Amino acid sequence: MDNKLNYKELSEDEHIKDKSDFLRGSIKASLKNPLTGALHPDDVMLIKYHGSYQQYDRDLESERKQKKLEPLFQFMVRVRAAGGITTPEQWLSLDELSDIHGNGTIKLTTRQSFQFHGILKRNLKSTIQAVNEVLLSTLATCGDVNRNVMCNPNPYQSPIHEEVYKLAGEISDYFLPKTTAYHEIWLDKEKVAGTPDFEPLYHNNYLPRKFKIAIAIPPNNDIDVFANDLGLIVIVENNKVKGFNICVGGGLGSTFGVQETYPRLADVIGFVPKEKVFEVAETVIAIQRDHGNRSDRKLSRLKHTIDDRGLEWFVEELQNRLGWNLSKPKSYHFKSNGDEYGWLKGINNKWFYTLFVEHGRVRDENDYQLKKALREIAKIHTGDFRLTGNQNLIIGNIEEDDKEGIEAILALYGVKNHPKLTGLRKSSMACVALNTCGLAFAEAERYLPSLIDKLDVIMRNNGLEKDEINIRMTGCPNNCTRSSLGEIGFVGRAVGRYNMYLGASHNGDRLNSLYKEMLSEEDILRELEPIIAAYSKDRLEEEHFGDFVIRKEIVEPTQRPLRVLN
Amino acid sequence: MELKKGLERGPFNDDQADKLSVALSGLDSGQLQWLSGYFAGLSQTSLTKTAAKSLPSGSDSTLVDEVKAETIHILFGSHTGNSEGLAKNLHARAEEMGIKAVISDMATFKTRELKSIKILAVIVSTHGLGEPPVQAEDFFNYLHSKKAPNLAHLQFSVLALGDSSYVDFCQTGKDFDAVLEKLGAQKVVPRQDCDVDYADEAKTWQQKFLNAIVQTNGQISAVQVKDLPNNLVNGTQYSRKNLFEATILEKINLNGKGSSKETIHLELDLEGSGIKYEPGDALGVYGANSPKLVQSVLESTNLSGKEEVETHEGNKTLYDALTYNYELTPLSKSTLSEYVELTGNNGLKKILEDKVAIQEYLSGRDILDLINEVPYKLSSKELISVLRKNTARMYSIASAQEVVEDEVHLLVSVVRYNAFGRNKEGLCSSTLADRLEVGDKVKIFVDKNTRFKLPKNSEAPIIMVGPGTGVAPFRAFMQQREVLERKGPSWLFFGDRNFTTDFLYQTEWQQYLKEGVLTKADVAFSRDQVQKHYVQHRMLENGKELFEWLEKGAHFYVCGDAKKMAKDVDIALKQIIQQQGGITIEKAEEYIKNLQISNRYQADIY
Repeated sequence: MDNKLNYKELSEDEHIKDKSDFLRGSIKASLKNPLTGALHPDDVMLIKYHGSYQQYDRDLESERKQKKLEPLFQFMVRVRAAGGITTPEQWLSLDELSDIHGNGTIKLTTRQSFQFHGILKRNLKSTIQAVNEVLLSTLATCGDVNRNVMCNPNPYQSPIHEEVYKLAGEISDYFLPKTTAYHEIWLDKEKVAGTPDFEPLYHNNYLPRKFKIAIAIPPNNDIDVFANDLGLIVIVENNKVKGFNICVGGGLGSTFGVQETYPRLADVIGFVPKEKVFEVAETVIAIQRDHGNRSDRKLSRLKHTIDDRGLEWFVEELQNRLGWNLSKPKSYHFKSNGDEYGWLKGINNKWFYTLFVEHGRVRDENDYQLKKALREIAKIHTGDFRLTGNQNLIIGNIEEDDKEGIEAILALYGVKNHPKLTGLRKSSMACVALNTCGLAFAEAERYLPSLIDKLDVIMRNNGLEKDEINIRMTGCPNNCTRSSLGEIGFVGRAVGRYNMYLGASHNGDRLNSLYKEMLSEEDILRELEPIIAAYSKDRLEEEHFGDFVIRKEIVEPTQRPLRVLN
Repeated sequence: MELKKGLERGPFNDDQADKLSVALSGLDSGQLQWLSGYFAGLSQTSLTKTAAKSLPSGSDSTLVDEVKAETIHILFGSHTGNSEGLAKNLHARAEEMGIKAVISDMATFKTRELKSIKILAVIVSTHGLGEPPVQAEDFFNYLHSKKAPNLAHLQFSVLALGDSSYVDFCQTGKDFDAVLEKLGAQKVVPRQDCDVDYADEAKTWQQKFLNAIVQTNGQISAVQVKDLPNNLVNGTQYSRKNLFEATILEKINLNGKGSSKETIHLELDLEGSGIKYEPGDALGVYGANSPKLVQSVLESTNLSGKEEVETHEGNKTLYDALTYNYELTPLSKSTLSEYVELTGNNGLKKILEDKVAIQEYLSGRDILDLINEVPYKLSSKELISVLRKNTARMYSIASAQEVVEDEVHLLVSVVRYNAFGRNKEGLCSSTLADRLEVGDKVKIFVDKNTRFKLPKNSEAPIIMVGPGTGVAPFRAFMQQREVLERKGPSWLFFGDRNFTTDFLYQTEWQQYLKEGVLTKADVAFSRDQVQKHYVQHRMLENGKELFEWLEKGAHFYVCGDAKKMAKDVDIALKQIIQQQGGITIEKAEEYIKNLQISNRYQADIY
């Protein structure tokens, strides 16, 4: 480590990792303490590596405080499935778990994971056990390690999808932590005596911060490849995977008031043949392990490591460690970062149905019985379920003969046609935010649908109800729904107040720019109405909203464009 | 010149006296007075240090650190940790200057300490649209409530953190500033509002604040606490016969959202009453019947309520008498027999002859049921004559005066049930739950209980078993022990239905454990799992240790339900003594008897 810090300068989290005995901490004892629904503060940090966040119901915070009750502590449990694909059996099990221990809903995340919310401490272990029983896992879905590897879920376009999906799973598994703490704590496995823990890649203190990898198969960028620490763009020649363009240093999180933090897209630094991809990924992670900032967690993602020293330094360091040079990036073209809905036939002659799931929340609501519908489908389905990077769901690999039956179930439970599925709603994303996320300043998932209702009136008045404009809302600038890549992006500042950003591209390769701060709903509608009207009137053919606002100089283009090294 | 002559009489050489007279001439009395404080402060810090440094070697240099400045109390309300960081910073800087400083989080700050604080630094951030951070809410609300004390003895300054892109920039800091001033406290230096990039502004404020403390130090003692109104009892001795009307200061349903229970924490004001109580004592409280029930009784008896009747409190309308002076629920045996006497009803007569049948009949019924089942044309006088006089309900006191002073706290389980086709409620608990609010008054008296007291020896271990409202006196015990420097170990067994909603006083127990006032706690929540768990199960699980505590002289207390819980606890205790002591059941009973004789096994059950 060239920037080896003395112990005092390390952030609190580094100290906790250091003394955690490979992520064990005192989690076992914390789970048993009957006087609180919370964990010991150190374990709150460590349990992230095991796939859970300790949260509390923020709606009840003040009320419970007055009642002399501790906050209603509860746990979010995140389940990984490489590339976001699960079997019907797994789906049924997750569905049941959400009812038994969770709040009766499942959240499909923007990184192709499942989330349960509202799990009480006393049910945490049985929840994680049940997840493992159906061969899914929660290990390393959070924490300073590589997270699950995202991959375009839609195999209909290309014969190489299967190969790339498999690779995503392999990379995901390859970079899992090797500690046996997870199995001891949750699965009652005994630690084998005389076998010291060893983390060949992560070493004792893991990474300085989370690390995200995604693989995109052009022309689809639905997984937002440039938002990742390491992005891989598949390069195909003669219908075969030839290799990958390597993108490094993406990350959209920032902190209000801290200038040194900002959303950043990954830069395209070169091309590598496919057999070298593990070696490259491992080396990129190792550089971040050795050079990442471990004293200030706000400045500790790979993007900061690169910006502190320069992209050229990074490429040189990478090539030095590899002992060979990357080739120049190959050309690629992304069309969109959204999802295509409805029936599509794959090249394997099976059917795929992409279902709109508003902000990824699977639940039953009045006549829109999404959760029940999916449960019934899972009971007869012979294919799989695939999560998209946009919080939607693909019912995948449906036999021609089963198509009708599945459609009947969708119709029966009222989810075949979403009553308000306009172009805007289709392209919307929102994070969990209040009431469970501890970071949120404002509402997102619970609020965006009603804002879209109002925006849709404006869209309709301008004849744009079918137009897809990416609209993304997050409750805080950590940016889980990648609002920096929304053609319209909202970031929560306070309850009922949002910063509004405009001008991202429609395919995820340009960040948006700040338009105005601290807007109320009234402000948002007032500001957007004339812009939308102008877009309807003055746009060029095929011109996307994000491009339009840049051309019309409604906002300045981002100061941080994507770099491609040539 | 007067000035120079005066200086020459002081401990100065001519040169010093000259310089001083030049420097001081022309100052007005206000300025001079200010300087007197400044010099007093100066003499205790920098000058002392200079002097000490110049002392010949071998002299006692520990004097350097003994600065007699008033202690600064630093209170922070932090959400993200920035305020906390600044508070720690100020603390460190103050100590470097030789000023004693104490630091507290508003979240856990005990407001009674305000009385003894002379200098207060408040460092607080603002959240959302001008709201205090949750950690500061309690303290914030306290200062804005009726309970807020006079703070004339206190000097303060506020460092406010915020984000200027918000409209209500630093609002919480501004609010603290205003309320402290309103309560009589005086500003040492003006409030400093800081933006997101707060480091420089905070540092400036810190310097100004500490310098001012050093400078005004000499004057602090001159700031006299204004005399508070004297709490003389006006010669009145309040008692069971002469009830005090206490104002409700606070009323909180402690059960969380979704709970199947309703347990009310009440804080009553005793100020001016001269009433004294001890942990273990009970409070008698008078309730009033609900207007709905009174109205129904009047309708069933065809009376208007306007009839004048004679009560032990003099003549009143029937309506008022039924509301305040007589019990309409539950039905008592005396009322039943009076009614039978009056009506001569044969069916009821038979019931009255059978003890078991009486119990069965009375259970769940009230006077309205009786009148409706056996109608009789009652006059207003007759109605009153069958009714039982309103009696007080007794609640174990949940506070200690060492901590709450002129207050008394109660824990009241609200009784509601459905019987014989009607929703019914407890007379007193529903009065407190439904018909009285903060600011209203309630008639009370203290009921001494010498049979439920903390050990005289404050270092003796105590074991407290108090599920449900049975936990009330143990809160009083903890408050009493909290202020002691030396105290014995303590162990609480608490139980209720559900952990997330029914853990009464949860955060207080957690705090007591953290501070070591409470040594150990075990809890049982009966409805969180299929198998029902109760306090006695926790006792049995901990049998070995519990027996060790008894052997070390622990006092064992049980409070709460007499019908089932206290018996189960008694059985469990016996079983533990038998098993752990390796003795016969008879010997175990003898052991328990000895505990009782030596006052080491006390019960407050109902």
